[in-house]
Amino acid sequence: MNGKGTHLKFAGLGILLGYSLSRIGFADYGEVHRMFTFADTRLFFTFCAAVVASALGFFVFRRMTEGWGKKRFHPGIIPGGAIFGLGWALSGACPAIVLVQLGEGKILALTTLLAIMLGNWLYGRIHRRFFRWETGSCGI
Amino acid sequence: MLIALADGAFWPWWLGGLALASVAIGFLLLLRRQFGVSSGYTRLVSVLENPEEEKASKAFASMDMGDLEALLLAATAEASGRSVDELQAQDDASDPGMFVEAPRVVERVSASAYAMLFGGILIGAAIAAVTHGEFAIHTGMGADYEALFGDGWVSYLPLIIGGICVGAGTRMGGGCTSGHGLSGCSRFQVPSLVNTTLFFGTGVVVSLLLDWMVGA
Repeated sequence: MNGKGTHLKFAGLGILLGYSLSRIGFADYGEVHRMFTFADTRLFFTFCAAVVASALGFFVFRRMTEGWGKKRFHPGIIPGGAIFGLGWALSGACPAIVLVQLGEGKILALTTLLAIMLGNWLYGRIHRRFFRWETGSCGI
Repeated sequence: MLIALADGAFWPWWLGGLALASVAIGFLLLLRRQFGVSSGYTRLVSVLENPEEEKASKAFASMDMGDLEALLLAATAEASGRSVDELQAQDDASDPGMFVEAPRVVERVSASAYAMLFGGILIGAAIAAVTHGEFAIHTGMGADYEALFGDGWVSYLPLIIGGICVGAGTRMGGGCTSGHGLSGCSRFQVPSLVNTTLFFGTGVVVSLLLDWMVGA
């Protein structure tokens, strides 16, 4: 799983993702802001088209996803989504977008990247200290 | 180029949608995995926090199943105060046996593989910017950002506070735009649909508030 071939596949898919997100305009603060304020629906439709096309793909290759299981509904789903949405609207970045911004030469995004890592680390500590639930998805 | 686009214009919605979907389906076909970026942050942060854990995890993942069973048997013997031979004999005599077949361990993605994904995103974006003649070192986040937050020291705050919220919120929710939004919603997973509705909804409310506050 973690051999050279796997690493190359991760890098290749990353390049495709980074190139696409940049040409879509997802790393542009104004474009994201106009999506959230409904001033321009292009990005929103892009996301919807991606979900529909992925759903078709998952249907075609449904036998390959048989062992995946369902996503668990845990107490972090609702507050986590709300906190993320607040952060995305403020910074204009989601976890992949901040890397796209950096790649485009927006060096200020380094601030956002470090803050995302800090937030991830902080929540990990808070979770271990106060919460008991299993998220079942990203190995907290 | 198959599609004629105006110079520097962003992709139309259908082309962007197909490109993002091909990444999600690429993860399925090439890696048999769900596509998600925020779990990479959790993985990389936990390695920075505790480098030993990554080594132990790698050693465990590459362990021979027979060795693992022998170790578990020895630990069981020590805990129960019975000898290994005695336990083994009891297992051989009983049907279907005390020891169940060890389930296939789903190997975690290594931190280095996530680092490759992150580096790839960065390089892909740089290629896009360079090939479109748009690459430059920008010290700001653009005119739309400055219209809301100015360009003084205050303009760092939304990036810092927002970034912390993105990091904490995606770890708390167990996914982000890719894991819940794309991979989860397209497989009709209810937790993902709820999470995605929440982050889009909150984004809309906060953005409308920002516009209202600056009087746009």
